[in-house]
Formats: sequence, structure tokens, C-alpha cells
Amino acid sequence: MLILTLESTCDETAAAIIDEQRGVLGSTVASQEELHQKFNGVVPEIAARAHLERILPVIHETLAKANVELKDLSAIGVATTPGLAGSLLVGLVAAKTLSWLLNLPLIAINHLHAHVYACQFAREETIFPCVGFIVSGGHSHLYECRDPFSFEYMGGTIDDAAGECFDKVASMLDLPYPGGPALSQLAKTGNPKAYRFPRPLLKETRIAFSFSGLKTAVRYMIAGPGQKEVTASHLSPGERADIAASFEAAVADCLVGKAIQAVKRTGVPRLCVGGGVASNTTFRHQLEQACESHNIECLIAAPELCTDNAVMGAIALERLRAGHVESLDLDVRPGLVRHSQ
Amino acid sequence: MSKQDTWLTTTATPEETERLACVVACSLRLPLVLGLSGTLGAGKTCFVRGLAKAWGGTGEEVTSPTFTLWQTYETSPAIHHLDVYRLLSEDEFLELGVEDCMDGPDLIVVEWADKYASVFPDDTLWVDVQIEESGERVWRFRGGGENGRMSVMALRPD
Repeated sequence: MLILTLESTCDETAAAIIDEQRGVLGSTVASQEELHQKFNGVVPEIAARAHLERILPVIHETLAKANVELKDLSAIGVATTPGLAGSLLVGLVAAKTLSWLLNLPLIAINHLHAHVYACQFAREETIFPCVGFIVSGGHSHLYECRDPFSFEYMGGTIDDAAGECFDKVASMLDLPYPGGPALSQLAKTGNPKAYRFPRPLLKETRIAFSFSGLKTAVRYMIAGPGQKEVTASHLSPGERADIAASFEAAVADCLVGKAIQAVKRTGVPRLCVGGGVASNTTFRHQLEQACESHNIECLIAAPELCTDNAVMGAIALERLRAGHVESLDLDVRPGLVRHSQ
Repeated sequence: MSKQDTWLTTTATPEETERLACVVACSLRLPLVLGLSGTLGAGKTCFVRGLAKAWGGTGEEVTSPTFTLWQTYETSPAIHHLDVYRLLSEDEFLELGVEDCMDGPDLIVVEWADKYASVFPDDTLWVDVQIEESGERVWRFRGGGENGRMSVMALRPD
């Protein structure tokens, strides 16, 4: 069985072709260099129009990489939730058109579930049951995942997502946007114990994150209250590195602490982690260590599968096998549905 | 702009910010766009949480839309919560399709609105928040258009 999966929930336009037996045959994410060149280096980052311009080249490119023709496909999968309505629609209309034209089953993909499913590529046996953890710019969520179709929301951020907090603190430290990776780089040379930043909610039993207060604490450390603009120009390179390292340590403590708490609550000894922040080495390392000492199997998606991509849409194969096929009435659902459906 | 179009108040804690938002929620005249601006970490998202609670939400649905760009809360009336922090141009903002909602029955709240102030409709309530030396937040409300002005007048104690 050969499936084409499409992803257009937010910034990235992506497609992948996955074979049930042979795995990933081709994958394209439109922020890749070759496509930049096709558009003369101009790839608007966000607008639905950008998805519209990119979706067909991305599909063609993926088919070519996989050495597959449309007639070889057995199903079309598409991410329909959550995301931006306009962006989601581009992927959905492309998927519906192919499904109708080729008379193939249409499969709906939940983008967040797919992020967890990216860990399936790191394990022979099924990853279910597990606790799924998505840590990205837009999401910091924990799910209890009994099987590929039942994801129960356990908790998540009540204000900013972890990745967003990284980017905003990076901007306070005058690092270029998006600053997450730049901040991690700076943190490597700093002392994570130099400043004691708060670990919000860590001691509480509820499964939730709050990074807004941490962001403000860092802001006060850099500039103090009453400053309109925050700049780190008065700080020495060493001080900036120490702030970055101490901040990163605080975020990692919160993420790791709550993940372990969630796993213990479910009694399922397996954690599957995806999303952009999951490629942060400090976080990965700390999480792996904590899981080891608590006898939890820790699976973290490969770095290229942490950021948005269509390969993780392989979860559609599970739906296809179980007969969860959609009609052409399928619609997008932009908002986040916290509880399972 | 006359003095009656503006109102100024302060809050000392996130709880006070939420309470302020509840008061504001009762004073708004729709259709209206609420344009939020102010320093990072001043409490813009916290303010939106207060609005959602005032209109029947739990508050838990409100998170920062910096990455997701656009979140809709099924409160009554509904709130479209947008954030243009990481957008690069007015065009990117307009291509989200927000204009289609601007005359509708829902409230549109845009964080970092001052970045693209020129594309906002007349009926906009501008809300700016700054952090004082003491840590207190100073909130400045300025009403544009008939509905923006009426909203501020309803807020002013005099």
C-alpha cells in the first residue's frame, strides 16, 4: 500500500510518499533549498497563497523522488486539524481533488497526533500505548495515547508554548529571529546555574505548563521593569550566555518534570516526543536521562521529523487499515480540540 | 482626538489584568477590532483570557497565538485571537483573511497591532500596555470610530 500524505497546517508545505512495507520513498518540505531556487529565492513564509503556489511543485517533486506515479497510489492523507483555515484548505482541496480524480480513499490526519507518530519511525514494534508529548513553537501538549485513534489530552500550556518562549527570550538577548536555535547555541557556553529562574507549576500535581511568567522573569533580569525596549547590549557576552543557559535549564526542567509526572500518572512506561523543540539537545539529553532513571522508554522523533513534515502523516496508514476513510464532505477544523474525539 | 476618547488605568497583578479585561468586555460595542500593543511579557494574552472568561469561556482555551497566528474561542460573542508578532508584512496579515471577519458579530483581538495599524478599520479600540518601574502595568485605551469611542466612554468613570 502506497500513500501520499500532505501537510499545510501552518508555515510549511510538505508531501511524502510512504509504502507500508518499504517505508518512506520520498519526502519534500517546501522550505528546502531546491524549492527556494525554483521560486527565485522568494518563498513567502506564511500566507495561504504561498501554500497554493507550492503545493503542486511539492507533490510533483515528491512523486519524482519516490519514482512513483499518481496511478500507483492507494490512498491520499491530508492534515485537517489544527492550523490556519486558509492554509489547511489548500492541502485539503488538493487531497480531495486527487482522491476524486484517482478514486482513492481520503484519510484525515490530525497534525498533533502525527507529531507523536513520528516516533514510530524509531521503533520496530508499535509505539502504542504511550504518552505523547508535542513541544513546538505553537504547542506544548501531553496526551495519553492508547492506540493510533485515541489521544486523550492530559494537559498543556496555559499561556505561551515552550518554543515561543525560546524565541521571545532570544529576541530580548538581541538574537536574530527565529531565535530558538541561536539561543541554544549561546546557552552551550553559559552556566545553567548562574541565575535561578522560576520553574512555574513544576511542584504542582496538575499537568500544565506556564512559560509567560518565566519570560517576564528573564526580562526583569535583563532590563528590569519600566523599560520600554529590552536590549541586552549592556550585558557582557558571558552574562548573556549565562542567562541563556539558565533560562534553557528552567524550560527543560519544566518540560522533563511534567512529562515524567504524566507518564507516571498513566502507568504506561513509554514516552513519545515530537515537535520542533524536541530537536533541542539539552532537552533531549535531560529527558533521556530522566526517563532512564524512571525506567521509562523514551522515543524522540528524529530531528528532521521534529519540525513540520508530511512523513509523520504515516499515521494515515493506521487509519486506512482500520477503515477510517472520509467522504468528500471532509472539512478543515482550524481550532485545537483538546479532548479526544 | 479628544480627551474623551482615551482612558488610562493600572493593574498590579495578572489577576487584576483579568478583572480589568472583564470590565472592558462589558463595555465593548461591536463590531469592533481590539488592537493590543505593548512590551513583551506585559500581559496581553492575560488580558485576552479575561475577555474570554467574561464571555463564558473557561480561560483555559486562551493561549498565545504567536505561532498559530489565529485562534478562535467559542465564547459568546466569539473571539478571534490573532498575533502578528512574527508576520513580515501587511500583506501577510491581510492574507490571513481577517478582513472578512471585521464587520461580523465577533470580536477580533490582534496582538502587536501597532505593527500594521494602517490596515485596521475605523472602529478599532487601541489598547497599549507598558510596564512601570514598580512592575505595575499601565493600560491606555484609545477609541477609534463610533464603536471605539463609545466603548471608551463606557469605560470612563466620569
